[in-house]
Amino acid sequence: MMSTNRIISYAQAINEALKEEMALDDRVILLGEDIGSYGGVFKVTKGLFDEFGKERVIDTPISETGFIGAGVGAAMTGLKPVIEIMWIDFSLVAMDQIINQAAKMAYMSGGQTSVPMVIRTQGGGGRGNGAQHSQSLETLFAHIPGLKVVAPSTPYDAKGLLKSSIREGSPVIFIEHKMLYSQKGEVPEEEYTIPLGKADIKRSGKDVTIVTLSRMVQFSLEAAKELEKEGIDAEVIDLRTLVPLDIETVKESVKKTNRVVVVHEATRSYGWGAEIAARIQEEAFDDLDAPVQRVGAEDVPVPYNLNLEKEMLPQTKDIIQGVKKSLYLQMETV
Amino acid sequence: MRQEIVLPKLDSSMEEARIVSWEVKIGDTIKIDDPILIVETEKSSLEVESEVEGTLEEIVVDEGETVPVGTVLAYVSSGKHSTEQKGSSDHNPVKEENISLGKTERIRVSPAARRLAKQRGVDLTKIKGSGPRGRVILKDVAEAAANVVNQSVKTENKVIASIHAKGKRVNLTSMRKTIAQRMTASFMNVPQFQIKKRVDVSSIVQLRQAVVSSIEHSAGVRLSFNDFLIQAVALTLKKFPRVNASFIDSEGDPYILEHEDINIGLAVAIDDGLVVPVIHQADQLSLIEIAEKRTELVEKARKGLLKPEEMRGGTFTISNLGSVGVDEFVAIVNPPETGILAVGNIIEQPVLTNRHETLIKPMITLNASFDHRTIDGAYGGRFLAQLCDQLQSGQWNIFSTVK
Repeated sequence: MMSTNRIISYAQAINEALKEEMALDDRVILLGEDIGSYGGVFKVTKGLFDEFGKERVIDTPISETGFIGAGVGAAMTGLKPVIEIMWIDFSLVAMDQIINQAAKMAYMSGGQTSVPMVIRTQGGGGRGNGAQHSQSLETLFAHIPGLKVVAPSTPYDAKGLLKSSIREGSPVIFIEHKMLYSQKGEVPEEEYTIPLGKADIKRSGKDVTIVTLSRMVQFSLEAAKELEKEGIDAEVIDLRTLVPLDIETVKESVKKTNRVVVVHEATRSYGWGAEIAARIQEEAFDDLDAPVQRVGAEDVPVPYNLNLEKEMLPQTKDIIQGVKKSLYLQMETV
Repeated sequence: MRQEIVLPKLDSSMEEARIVSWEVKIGDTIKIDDPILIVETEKSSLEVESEVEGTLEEIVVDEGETVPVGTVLAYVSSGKHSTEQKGSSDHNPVKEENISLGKTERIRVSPAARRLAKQRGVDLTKIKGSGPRGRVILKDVAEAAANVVNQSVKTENKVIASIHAKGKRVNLTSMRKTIAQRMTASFMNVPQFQIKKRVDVSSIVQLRQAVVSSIEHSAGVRLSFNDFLIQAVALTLKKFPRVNASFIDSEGDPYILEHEDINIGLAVAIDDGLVVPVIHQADQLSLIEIAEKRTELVEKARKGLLKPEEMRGGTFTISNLGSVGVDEFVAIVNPPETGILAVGNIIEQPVLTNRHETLIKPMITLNASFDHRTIDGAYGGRFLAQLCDQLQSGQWNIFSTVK
């Protein structure tokens, strides 16, 4: 499939996607804080200001509501804005623009208008950035009809999915992970896209299915490697997008393994793991040999202290434990 | 504590049973696994062993009554449990409920294990669950089902696995698994012998040609060669009850069960598999009725719409590979049946008559396989000879007979 073994980082891959789409379609513009000559706090937009100019790479004031609103208007009137919200935690101040405006325009206008807009942002913990800069809020957006939600785990996926998101023609919340920006991986020179709503089996196995996305894919793969030493063969499914959700791939896997562990970095209660568990019991009940296990963060705000943060966020050992529970190797007390 | 003795499900098809006799009386002390009563199911008489211990307090269902599985038959006052209970009274209501409900009513089973048990015909009441709270899980059912199949198959599989590493892996459909399991069981557990005979089917060919279109016109069904075969086999089985029988390998006390009904299974090839719909009481059906039933069942089989009861109860199987142009072949007995008939293509062949003339006749070759535990060669040979006579006799029940 890939003709080259070129290795680049997750941040570079996203940068390439933006660059290629901007070169391809001059309706694509960028908006956001410090994305211009500074190149973004995580250097994702590096070089784009110089290449495409201030008309297309627009530094905005610190007002998420303002520039998301501007983006919605621009999208409705013919542009394809890609907006960076520096931290996903800051999207909360712009929720009216995202949920009440962007998500609903196409529906409320009876299809007379659309909002072909991508909101790029980054979430997750692991850097000791504290409770207001470390959240995993993908479920909030996935719950809202009219929004698509993408959360890639590798450079290859990030590039292919971002290109598809820009071409999607409706609002897409594209959630990067701060701990993945420096992660490197193979990305081919030639152009490719990855369709939204197509999960990727990152490791195939027969004993248990781990359903996950974003940074937890890496953790799950590490867990699978550990489990292999004990003779447990885990399949790791990277959903890649929550909306649209590729439940078929999950169901196919459950048919084979009869066991599921859903892993997300978001807090456990009311997280999207519950949605996956519900869909499986509704649609694949007879394939289950054990209750669906959920591994998520503890139900507390993310602590600032790095050691406490580690305690709070799901770690490889927690995934291993979840897998063992689903294999009945670790009995739950009843 | 008062505990119930309920009628257990003693085999997978058991729905109800008649109480033949109580082996214990009120006031007797009963231990776990003690035989306490004898019941009679559709298939056989069986001894029921106690799952509880204590003193028999009350008998609820008297001898001679027929009751469904799960019915409370008697009450036992349990000395042992009551003392145990004193120490930790009300401590564990969940556990107590389990005991009083009895094993037959509340079995914890994972959804996947339940489905597999149904597919493989594994009796869940006989399995000890290894999951939490005694939940029966896939592994338990798979192990129970695999016990039927000889262990050596597993070892062989391991050896094969290394060779397979490079080829294309094809996962088994549940049907493929069932076929593999049943045929392995047949091959391993049933000593089989084959008898072959060629038979002139010109009378059937002529009769069929003469009537097929008028019957199709009047009865709306197209008579096939298989319908004649089914009737011939059914009528022959009537005279050979030992072929229409099953060898029941019940532990320590094997016996032969000669079936009352003659139910003919017809092997039907479908995508990556095989099903055997059953024509029940085929000996009592006319050719037209057989044809109607056969058409309906084959159609359903190809569409995957057969109901379980339409594949159950077979007492003999016919497998006809004539349509794929096979001269003859040998089939494996379909347990618990005693015999299977493998039928080849109708082939025009020279035949030497009694007067040493050579005639060209439509011939088929029949290979019958039998369970040697049930019958011997001579009996099987006579069965096949009689079947050939029937096929050549020209004596057929074409229309519905008055019963």
